[in-house]
Formats: sequence, C-alpha cells, structure tokens
Amino acid sequence: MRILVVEDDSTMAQHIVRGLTEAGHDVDHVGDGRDMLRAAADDSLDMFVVDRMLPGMDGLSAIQAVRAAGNQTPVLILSALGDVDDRVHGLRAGGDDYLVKPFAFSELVARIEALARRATSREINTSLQVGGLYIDLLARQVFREEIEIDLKPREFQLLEYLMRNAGHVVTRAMLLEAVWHYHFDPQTNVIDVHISRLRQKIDKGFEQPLIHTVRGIGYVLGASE
Amino acid sequence: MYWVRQNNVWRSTTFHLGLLFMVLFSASFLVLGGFIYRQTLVFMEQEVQALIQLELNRSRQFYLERGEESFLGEIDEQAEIDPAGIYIILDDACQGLFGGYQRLDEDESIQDICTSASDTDGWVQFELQIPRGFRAEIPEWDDNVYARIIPIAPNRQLLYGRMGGIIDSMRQVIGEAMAWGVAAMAVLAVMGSYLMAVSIAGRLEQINRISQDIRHGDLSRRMPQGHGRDEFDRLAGNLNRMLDQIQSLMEGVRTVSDAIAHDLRTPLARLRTRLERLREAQPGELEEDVEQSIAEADSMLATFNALLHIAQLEAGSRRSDFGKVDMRALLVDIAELYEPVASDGNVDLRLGLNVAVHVNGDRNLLFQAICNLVDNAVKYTPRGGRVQLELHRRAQVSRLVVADTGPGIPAEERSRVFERFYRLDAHRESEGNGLGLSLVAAVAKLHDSKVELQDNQPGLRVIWDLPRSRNRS
Repeated sequence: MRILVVEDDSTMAQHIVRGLTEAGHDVDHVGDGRDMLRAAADDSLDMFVVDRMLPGMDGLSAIQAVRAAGNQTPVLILSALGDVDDRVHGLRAGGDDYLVKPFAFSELVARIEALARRATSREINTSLQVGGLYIDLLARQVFREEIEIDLKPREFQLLEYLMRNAGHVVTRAMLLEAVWHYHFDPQTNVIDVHISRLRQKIDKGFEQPLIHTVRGIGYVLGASE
Repeated sequence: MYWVRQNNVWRSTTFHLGLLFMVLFSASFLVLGGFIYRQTLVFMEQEVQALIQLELNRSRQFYLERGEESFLGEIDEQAEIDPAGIYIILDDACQGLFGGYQRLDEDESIQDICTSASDTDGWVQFELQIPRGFRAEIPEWDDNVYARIIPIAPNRQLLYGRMGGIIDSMRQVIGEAMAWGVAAMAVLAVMGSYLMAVSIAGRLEQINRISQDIRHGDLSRRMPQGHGRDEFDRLAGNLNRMLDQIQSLMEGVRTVSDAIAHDLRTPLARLRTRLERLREAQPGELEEDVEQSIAEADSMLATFNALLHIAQLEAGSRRSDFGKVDMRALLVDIAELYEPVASDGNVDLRLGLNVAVHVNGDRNLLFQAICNLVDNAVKYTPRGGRVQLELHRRAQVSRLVVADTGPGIPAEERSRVFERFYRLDAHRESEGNGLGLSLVAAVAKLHDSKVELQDNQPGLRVIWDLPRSRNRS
C-alpha cells in the first residue's frame, strides 16, 4: 500500500514512516498541508495519514481541499489530545478515521489496514467465510462446519466485524466503535468478556480456534495464528 | 489601625481628588460670588442714582418757586441734615457759583467735570477731600461722589451728588468675605483630603501589604473584611474568595502531582526491573518480559491519557460535540455492554427505565462516564449482589441512579473519591487507576451537573441529575 504521511514533527514522522515501512508499506512523507496538496495529485496513493496541526495550511483545510478536488483516497487524521473534541469536525472535513496522540503503534497499523479494506471492498457482501466459519449477512445465520450457531444480535455484529477484518488485528476501541458506536478506549475488560462469550460459541468444541487474542493490542480472527 | 507613611498620603489619588474638588468648588464659589457682587453693586448704584434724581427734581421745583436766594438757604440747611449730599450751582460756562465746589479734591476741577457731563446725560463721578475724622463718623462719607448736573434756569445748572461710601463699603465687605471664604475652603479641603486619603489609603495599604505577603508565599493570609457592606468590604470579600479558589486549586495540583509521583513510581520501578532482567536474559526467555514491559508502559500511557483527558474536560471548553442525547437508549446500550461482565460475576444487573428522557450533552462522554459508574458498581458488588440502573424524569432534570449492594463508601470519604488517584484502602490492590470517578466528576461538571453519592443500605447509590434538553423530548 502507498501511504503519504503528512506530519510536521520530524521525530514523530520518522517513527511513523519507519513503523509503516516495516509493516510492508511504501511510505512517503511531507511536512505541511501545501506539500500534501501537491503530492495528492499522484493517484497511485492508497492512504493519507495527516496530522491535524500543520504549519502553513492546517490538516483539516488540506483534507477539505483534497476532497473538494474529488480525491476519495482514505484519510486517517492524527491529533494531539487537546483537539480530541474536534473529532467530529475532523470526520466532517473528510477524514475517514481519527486517532489521538499518543497512540500505540499497533493501533495505528490496525486502523490503517481496516481503512484500506473498507476502501477496497466497497462491494456489498451477502456472506463471509473464514476457514470453516460461514455467516449469511442477509439471513443473519452463522455456520461452522455446517453446524448452525445461535448468536445474539450484538455477538453477530462483533463476529461480522472480525470476519470483515479477518487476518488483521482489531483493537478494543475499534470494536466498541464499530459495534456499539461509542468512541473511546475502554480501559476495562468489558469487550474481552463479550469476545470470550463469542469464543465460547464459535470455537468451543472445534479443534482449530478462530478468534485469537493479540496481547496488549486486541483480537484477530483467522484460520491460523 | 494601620497608619500610612506621610509621603504616601500627599501622593495618593484620594488626596489629589480632594484638592481637585477644592479647586473646582472654589472656582464655582468665585463665579457665584462675583455674580452676586456685580448685581449688588449695580442695584446699589441704581438706588443712589434714583435718590439723586429725586433730589434734583425737588430742588429744581424749589428753585423755580422760591428763587435763588431762598434755594441757597435751603441747600445750606440740607447740608447740615445730610452731610453725604453735595449741591453745586454752576453757570452755563461751567463756573462754580455756589455750594460745595471748594470741597473737591485737588486733582479735580469742577469745570472739567461739568464739561464732560454733556456726553453722559449729566451723570458724573468725582472725588472730594474728606476732612479727617469724618469717615468714622458717618459710614456713608467717602471721597467718591456720584452726581448729576441738570439745567434749572437760564445760565444756571444744578449739580447734586451723593457720596458712594455705602457702595464702597459693600464692595470691600463682599471682597473680604470671598477672600476669607476661599482661604477657609482651601484649608478645609487640604485637611479633608488628607484625612480621607489617610483613611482610604490606609485600607488599601492593608490590602497591598497582605497581597505582598501572599506573593511571598503565605497563601493562608486573607484580607480584613469589616461587617459593613461598603465597596472595600466587597472588594476584600471578592479577593478572599479568589484566594480560597487559588489555594484549593494549588492544593489540587499538589495532590495530583504527589499522586502521580506515587502511583507511577511503582509501575516504573517494575518496568526498570524487567528491563534489567532482559539485559541478562537468554534469547528464548525474552518474550514474556518484553510483553509485560509493553503492557506496563501501555498502562502508564493510558493513565496519562486519562489524566490529560480529565484536565481537558475540566477546562470546560469541550462542548462542540454536544447534542441531544437519548438517555434511555444510552442506558440500554450500557446495560447490554455490561451484561456479560455482570453475569460472569454473578451480579444481577437490572435496568429500570419507564420514561424517555433527552439531555443536552456529549453522547460519548456520557456513555464513558456512566460506564465508569456501572463498571465500579459491578466490580465491587460481591457475587449474588445486585446492580440497579434507573432513569427518572423530573421537572428540570433527568435523574440517573446507579445503585449497588456492594460495600459502599464510608460517608467521610464520599467527597474525596472524586479526587484524582484517590482510592479506598480496601480497593488499593485491585486493578484500576483511581481516575474513573474523577472523569465522572469532570464530565458532570461539563454538563452543569453534579454527582451525588448516598448510602444504599447496603451499598452505594450514585445519583446524577442531568439538566434535560430544552426542546421537548
């Protein structure tokens, strides 16, 4: 994936560029909003990671300008904690996701990858399948090895989100956001308990577990670790 | 009583204002006095002129009826009765013929006076020689004479004049009165301004001195406040309230920094020990310690984030995400989110909602704050206990109740649990950072509301009244 990082703080920028490069992405970096507009003309870019506060032209204006030019490349906004109330403004300005500094790098990578998947799989799926697990999104039915599993609506949503992101780590904050539509980082084990319920129903009695815990980050659904 | 150094008084604003008032008042006094003075003199001159005219008319009548001979007798007689009057008979060439023209001052000439009278309708003023002692005898005696010359017969003119002694006396009296008045006023103004300055500067000086003490670090000092309700008492009262607030804020800062130092030292020390062990470790053993170190760092990061978040909420500027929030939907979501945790702990989580209530607020923050309350309730309620989540609609507010059957919070600690890092001794070993309720308090404050803790007998009962949304729900 080609990612453009727009960040004025050079230490932060270096850290992000190195991390994303190690994660296998092709990363470019510019330091302000004007350079971002120039770089945005390159339509081989798959993703922008934009700091909200930039010298010259601020991040939100730059994003608005990019969107106004008809560019639909996904944008992840980074913001210092002091601006967290502007999350809504950020998303309104055309951002697709919002991450508050300081963040765990794994959270950034997980969100970038989730955004990318959302962007590429815009076609409407009526079913999803991972290993022996199959869910029918229309009939709201779940099968594993042909055996139907009965899930509560919220458990179904959790599973759907995990399956859409199969093979990729999703964080607890991402799950809370996607399934409950509230935005904050739960510091308690509420999400874990929901996952463990889901696990009980999906994995119990099967040789191969599908839901795996990634310590300190979140969860991943996949046929193998 | 605090006394002020002398030079401070002369330089004080109050003193300057007092003097300024004195100058303004004197000026208006002089304007008024001058006006009265002028009007009085004009009036008295008119009086004298009327008297002169009256006497001239009478005299002419007398002259024409009785002849010059008896008129001269008459004026001699009159001079006896009224020494302030003077008669002179002149011919058409302005030669003095009879009467008191010899009494004119050396500088005066009756001919010049008479000649000049033609321009002024006969009115003249001149000076007399005053015999020694006369002045004291008759107050009207004066060397200044107001007079008029009129023709009374062929080749005969009559001058009748009156001494203006009373006018001059009046002039002098009023002048002196005004001079004394201004002088007395100046003295009183200086004294009054001085006393006023001493009393006001004294009170201000007290405030200045105490401010200085406070600036030098004695934050416990307070402004002296009288029982009166004058502006100085109000000023002192306001300053004292401000100082109270500063003091409590500073204590808050100190408590927080102490708590940060204390609470973060332990995980940092653990982290350091692990890193030290890693230096010695064999490649195969690394994983576990690295994982734990990262988790430790993450948890410290989370604590800092929570602190910053609370500080930012307390700054109270974060209202851009406010909107109409359906409290019932919010509580249903929370109950559903916590149901698995509660049933794992064998706690009965019940939802008591029979009304729809909307409040004006930040949906995410309210959710997070109520989650913290429910989280605590579920966490501290023993197995077999119950957590009740209720929503009531009151006239102005939406009342949220989170009641549990846990150990509760002793009454004397209820106000302190909202402080950052404050943890009940009983819970010191359990997980959590001691910031959950601080966040709740900050969110409540942002929503112009307050969270109250009560005894649920047994357990804790949290009551949170949120102002209802204005538009009808």
